[in-house]
This record gives sequence, C-alpha cells and structure tokens, in this order.
Amino acid sequence: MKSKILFESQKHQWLVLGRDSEKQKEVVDTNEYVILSDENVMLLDPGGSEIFSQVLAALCRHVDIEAIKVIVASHQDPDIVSSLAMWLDLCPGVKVFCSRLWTGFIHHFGMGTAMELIGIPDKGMEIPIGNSGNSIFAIPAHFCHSSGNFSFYDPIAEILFSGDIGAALLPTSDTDLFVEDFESHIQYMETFHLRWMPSSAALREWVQRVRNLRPVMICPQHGAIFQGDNAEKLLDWLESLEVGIHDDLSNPELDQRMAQLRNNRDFSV
Amino acid sequence: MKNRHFQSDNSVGSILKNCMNILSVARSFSSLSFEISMLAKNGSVHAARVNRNEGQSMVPLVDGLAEISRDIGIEIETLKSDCILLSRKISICSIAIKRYYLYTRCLAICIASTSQGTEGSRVSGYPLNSDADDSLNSEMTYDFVESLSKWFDSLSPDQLDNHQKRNMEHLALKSRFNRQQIETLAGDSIQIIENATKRLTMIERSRLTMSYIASSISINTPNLKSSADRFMDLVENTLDLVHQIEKEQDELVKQAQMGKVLLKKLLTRKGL
Ligand SMILES: [Fe+2]
Ligand SMILES: [Fe+2]
Repeated sequence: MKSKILFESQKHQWLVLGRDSEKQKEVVDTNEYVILSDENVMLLDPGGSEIFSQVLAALCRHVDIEAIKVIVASHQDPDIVSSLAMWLDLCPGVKVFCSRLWTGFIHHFGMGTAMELIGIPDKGMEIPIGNSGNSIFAIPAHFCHSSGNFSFYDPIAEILFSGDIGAALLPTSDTDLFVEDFESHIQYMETFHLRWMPSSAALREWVQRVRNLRPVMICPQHGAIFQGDNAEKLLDWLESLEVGIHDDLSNPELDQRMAQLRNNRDFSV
Repeated sequence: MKNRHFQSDNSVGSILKNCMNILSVARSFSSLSFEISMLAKNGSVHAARVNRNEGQSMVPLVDGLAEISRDIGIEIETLKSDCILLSRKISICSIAIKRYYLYTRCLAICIASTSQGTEGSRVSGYPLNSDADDSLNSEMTYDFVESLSKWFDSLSPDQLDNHQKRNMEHLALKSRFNRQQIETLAGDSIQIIENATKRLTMIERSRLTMSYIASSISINTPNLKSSADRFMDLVENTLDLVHQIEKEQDELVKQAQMGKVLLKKLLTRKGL
C-alpha cells in the first residue's frame, strides 16, 4: 500500500494511504486519509475490514496507533468504515463522527463494541482533532451520493476530503496518486458519477459550497487527488454534469416470468 | 494471500453458521416446550376424568405421562437456555477470531516489509524471505506473537523506527488478549456442548418412556366405552411430540458435534 504526505507544517500533517497493489481484485480500491495534529491522529474514512490489515500496517510506519483520537465517516457504505470494530478495539476512547442519519446503521459495524458515536447535524459542524486545538469542518454533501453525506475541510491545510465525490475507478496499471491530465481522467469518473450520484441539484449546491472554501486540494475516497488547477477543473466538470441517469430499465422477460408465477398461483389456490 | 484470507473467512463463517443453527434449534425447543406443558396439563385432565369403574388401569398410566411430560419440559427449557448461551459465546468468539486474524496479518505485513533483504530472519509461523506473499501464505500459528520480541532483538536499530516498534508491540498484546479470549470462549462453549449432550441423553430416556406409556395407553384404550376417542387423541398427540423431540434432538446432536469439532480445532491451534 502506498503512502504519501500531502501537507506538512510544524505540528500538522496530512497523509494518504492507498493504491494497494496486493488487494483482492474483487474489493474496490480506496484511499484512506490521516491527519496528525500535535500528536493527535484523526482517520477520515478508514476503510473496509477487507483491507484493514494493509491500512493498519501502512499506518504503523507513520503514527502511534494509540494516538488515534477521532474517526470521521463521510457516509455509511462498507468501504468507508466496516473496519470500525477493529479500530474501536485498538484505540479505546476514540470518537466516531458520521451523519446523524446513519448512527443507528454504523453501530452494526461495531460488532457489539462500546463506542462514542456522534451524529453530525445536517448543516455540518466543527470537529476537534483530539486535544490539538485544531479542527476540521463537516461540509454538507447530502445526496452526493448518500442521503446523509459529508465532505470534510481542513482550514490549516486547505484540503477538502470529498468522499465519493470526484471518485474515479482507475485501472490497476494507473498508480499515480495525483491527477496529471484532467481530460483523460474524466473517463474513469464519468460512469461512477452518472450512476452513483442521484441528484444534479445536490451536486451543484455542493460545488457552490466548495467554491467558497477554495481548497488547494480535493481528495476523493477512490482514485487520484486533484490539486491546483485540477481542483478547479473538477468543480467545473461536476457543475456541468447531469447525474441520476440510468439506462432503460424495462425487462419484458422478468415481467413475463412474474406474471407466469402469479398465474400458476391463481390456479393452484 | 487471497487464499489465506478466504480460508480464514470460511472458518469464521462455518463457526457462525453452526452458531445460527444451534440458535434455530433453541427456537424450535421453545415451541416444543410449550406443547409439552400442554400435554402434561391434558394428561392430568384426562386422568381426573377417567371413569373409575371402567378405567382404573389407565389412571397410573396417564398420571405417569403427565409427570414425565413435566420433567422433559423442564429439561428442554434448560437445553434451550444452553443453546442461547452457546450461540452467544460462539458469536463473541468469532469476533475475537476475526480480530486476531486481522491483527496478526498486519504484523506479518509489517515484518515482511521490514525484513525484506534480511536473509534468514524468521518469526515462528511466518518464515520470512523477500517474498511477502509467501510469508503471508504460510500457516498461521499461535506461537507467532510470542516470537515477536525475539525478532525485535534480531534487528539492527535502524531497521525499525520507534513508532513501528511501539505499534507492533501494541498489536502483539491485543492479539494475545484476543487469543486468550478465543481460548476461554471456545473452552466454555465445549463445556456447554458437553453438558447439553448429557441433558440430551436424559431427554432421550424420558422420550422413550413417553413413547412406551403412550403405547400402553393405546393398548388399554379399546377396553374403555365412554372415553376411548379422547385417549386415542392423547396417544396421537404424545407420539407426535415424541417424534418432534426426536427430530430436534438429532439436529442438536449433529450441530453440537460439528460445533465441538470446529472449536476443538481452534483449541488445538490448527483451525485458522
Ligand atoms: Fe459510497
Ligand atoms: Fe466509496
């Protein structure tokens, strides 16, 4: 699994872990982000249980596991946080934040372990990075794609973690951590956004919100990171996108089969 | 690495499936125990209603049936509680297995990445060489955690930084704790299975007695003039219940044996 420092100041650091060349091909590739702020560690979307050992092994090289104080989950999907039971066991006292919509659901990932799970209100909130005195901010991203969804903005690093927004499903041969050529990168994002994002209006609202923040880096949970001009290009592209579109769903074969079974039942009763 | 991973998932999966099956037998026992208590009540009612002139011989039989039904009902209730406790223990055990597996796997990755190039470096259970996949593919053993400190000693100071060493020690401690938990829970579960097996032998005996009494009632019933039908119903209900108890009992014996094999594998440190 690759790791790279994205931002570093005296007592504040951003780290990305991802592109695991040894992961099973059935499992979607994810990026895990880590903030180390004055000895306090925050994990952003720590990932699924299938890749837990690899993420932990990569993390072991950079931070003290027992210094993990906060975990934030952009939404409720298993690739986001199904490893939670292990993190709770290794880092007792860790605080977990997710949309208020998903607290009851995310408890299922805890495997019965006690946890302090804090529901983020719909309008967002400030989330302290342990006792560092620094915070990140939960930025509403509802319906992009999950109905209870957040991006997280760090005003010190000026980095926005965007969850599934800006995500790309890259071929395994593509190992760049940053987007090099935006135009050629679109092909890996397009299908994902058209099918996974349900609302163009919600996506445009999010773009407006993010433009006001002017992040220097936009970091998605899948695929490469956008920095500088590419962050701006991503926002333009998302704004122009008509999402929530799917193919014709009519399925005469299935309809016929259901009708057949219904008729059989009527005769036999 | 892929095969190892799925192998462990299968082991946890088999244990969890076994735990669900035992829970489902417990649910069947719950409804059986209700029907048996009804049978015990019916038996008493029948005994009280016997026409003293025509069916004196039936009184001890029907009383006996009521009594044995009460006894078997109590045994089945206890067995049901055993099953629920067992399934809870096994399910907590499977979580500890998952954690143990993932932590030790992480340790193996850390060791493999640190040891690349250090020829001959070995941790019990994970022969280390430059091929990380090989070390991960090797059979996981419980000696692994204990061997870590020796491995630390074998390294030169520049091979492992403080973070990594502290984290690996933390993981080793957690792995050891999970391993102890697995051993305790698997041991407790085997004890419950053994107690349940003894209880099943007692139920088996009572079930055969029930069946014997029901046959005796059925033999004596044609001599009755006024209440023959009612007694035949009682016999039919009894035999039906005896059959159901036998079926659930067989299922539980099967699941208990399977559970015991899976758990013993864990305790003999070969299974995962
Ligand atoms: Fe998602
Ligand atoms: Fe995702």
